[in-house]
Amino acid sequence: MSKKLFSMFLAVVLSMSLILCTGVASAQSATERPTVRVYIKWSEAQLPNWPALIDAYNADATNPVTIEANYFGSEGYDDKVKAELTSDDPPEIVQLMKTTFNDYAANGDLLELTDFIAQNGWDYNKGALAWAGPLNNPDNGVYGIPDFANTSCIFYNTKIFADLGLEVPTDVESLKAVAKTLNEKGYKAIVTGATNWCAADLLAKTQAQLVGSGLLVKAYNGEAKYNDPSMVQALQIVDDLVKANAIDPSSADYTDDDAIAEFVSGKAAMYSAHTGMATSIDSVAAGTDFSYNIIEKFNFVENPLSSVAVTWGSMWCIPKNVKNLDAAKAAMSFLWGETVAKNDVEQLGKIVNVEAWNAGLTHPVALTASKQLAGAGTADSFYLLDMVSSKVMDNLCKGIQEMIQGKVTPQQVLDNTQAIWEEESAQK
Amino acid sequence: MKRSIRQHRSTKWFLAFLTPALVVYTLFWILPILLTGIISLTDWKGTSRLATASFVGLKNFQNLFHDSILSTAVINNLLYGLVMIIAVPVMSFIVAYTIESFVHKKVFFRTVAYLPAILPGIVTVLLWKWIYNPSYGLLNQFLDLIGLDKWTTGWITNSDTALGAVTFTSIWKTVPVYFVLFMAGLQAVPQDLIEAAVLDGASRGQTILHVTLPSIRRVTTIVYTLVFIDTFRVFELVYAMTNGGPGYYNTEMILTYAYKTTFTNSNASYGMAISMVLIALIIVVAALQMKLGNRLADD
Repeated sequence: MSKKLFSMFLAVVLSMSLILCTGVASAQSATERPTVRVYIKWSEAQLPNWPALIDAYNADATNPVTIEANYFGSEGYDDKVKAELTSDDPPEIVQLMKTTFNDYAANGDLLELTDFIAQNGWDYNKGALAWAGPLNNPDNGVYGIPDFANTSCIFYNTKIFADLGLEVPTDVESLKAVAKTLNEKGYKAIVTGATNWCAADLLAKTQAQLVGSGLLVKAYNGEAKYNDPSMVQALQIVDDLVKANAIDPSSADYTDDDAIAEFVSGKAAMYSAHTGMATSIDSVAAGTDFSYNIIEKFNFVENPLSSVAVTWGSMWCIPKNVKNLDAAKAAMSFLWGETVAKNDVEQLGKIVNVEAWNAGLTHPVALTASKQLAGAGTADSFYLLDMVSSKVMDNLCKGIQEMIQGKVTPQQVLDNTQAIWEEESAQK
Repeated sequence: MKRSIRQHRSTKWFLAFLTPALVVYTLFWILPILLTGIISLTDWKGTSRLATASFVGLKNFQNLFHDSILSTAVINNLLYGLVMIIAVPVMSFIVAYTIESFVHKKVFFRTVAYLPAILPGIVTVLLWKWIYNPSYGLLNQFLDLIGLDKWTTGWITNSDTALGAVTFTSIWKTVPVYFVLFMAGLQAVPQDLIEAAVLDGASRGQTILHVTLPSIRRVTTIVYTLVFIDTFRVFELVYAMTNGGPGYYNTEMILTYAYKTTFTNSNASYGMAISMVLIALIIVVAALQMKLGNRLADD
């Protein structure tokens, strides 16, 4: 009997303590700050200053939210985001690349941020915000915060140029002359990673100067063709540079890593990409006396429409069906506010889209790029070439790679791209 | 009466053992295939809720006939499959037969030959990407060394060599899987039959052709069927090694294209239509192959 009583007593005590614990836990959760999940396509190594900044933010009890940064490092990221954005409880902030951003913005999956930016008092570059929505964006809605500004550029090895007494080229003719000298001295002139996006980046450079953004916007809205004669002419400039060995044909076989390895090892004197790749060059060149810069002014055509093609790396967005909108906005205000942005400028050498926050730039590439941007950060100079679906972009890159291998002409490349585009539209 | 109770009991045991496997198989194989079939009849893009999708009938299947990239992928897959189906069983048999003929160190050679099969797919890809690299790759360095520097190239980034390079890697990875099956088959060949053939004056070639090979017909049928299925299931090797490139889809396979269409290009219903056709093709051809193989084996 006593055993029975004792066991009943024990059961009551355990139940009471369980109820008490639950009560304490729920009381605690009521006072806890909401957690904001941030999905980041990049790896932590690409934003090395963020963990400390976020930890400091989270440690300050006066801040309204706790930020949980998830660094995915590209692999599988798009699939993960796709699944999360169709769920009932999506992450509060997601990083989207251009092509996927367009799809989500066009589908109405993302929150419009014009008022949010105004409330924060951020003086964003109008050129960058001009393309912060779907391509068919009559209300000029802003559906994401565009991150760091890049310019499509040509890096050059300052030591090789100084040793050979070469002038930095400023147009196609001077580039061909420099390439000839470099080739004679056993150097490759320009290398690039033509097995991926660098291929399209070559066209973006000439297209921005020769064609501008108007034709592409029309093409995206079905009012013009991608294989327009002016686009073919822009790609013809690239093909001529390949035939003159100014762009080394070995680029057709290279990934970005291969091209950077050739550039940093001194086998190639120049590397074509965008300024965002300076971080990768620095990591490969760490511990060496390698010195480089970007060509500040280069005209692929006479009287270019834009001095340089400008792009942003990605968009930072809040899903429309997010559960805790205030928390998402609070975290966004911190992550894209002055403190973090200035730290990015100083620590990572990135150029942000609020001009006043760029005062701390010291990296030679960033300093030159900011000079380029000063004259070109407008909507017209924007790098729009890659705002197509992944399939069309992939086809364009593959075509340019085949062109560098000498297998197809510029006309065939763009005809093929247009055909794939039409085929895809019919499929959808 | 007793017999019927025994039968009833054995049926119960049969069901008890079968049910877990059947549940797993239904959940992870049958249901996804059914769901794939249903989605392939809609316009679901994969970027919105499935409930918002509309029924479009056979439109996605009609589009298959006007897809130029799919045609390239099918041709690539057939070329790849042809080489695999010729090379893999033959090489697997040669490796198995050679190792079985060894008197000493048989276990050691079996282990060495089997090593590529136990390497994870991604390790195989990294290893071969390094070998094929245009700047520092082992293959180019070797060609340089023997004076064939004109042949050096980016083996998986050159449009002319990429499919061959990927196929070679796949053979390297696949042969060890099947040589084990042949080895098991060879160990089951009655030794007295071989001895009788030798006593009758048959050469080694004649013994292989008229005694060994007919004795392992069933194994051969299984190997051919599995290699055939594998050729259409090729995915991670191509995806991680070349991602369907270089150039105009030179190594694109049906499954890599279906995956990209579904996930990367945000056209899920169409991607699933491609997968459905592939599943149907594999089921039909594999069934025919098994039937034909079994008939030959029975003969």
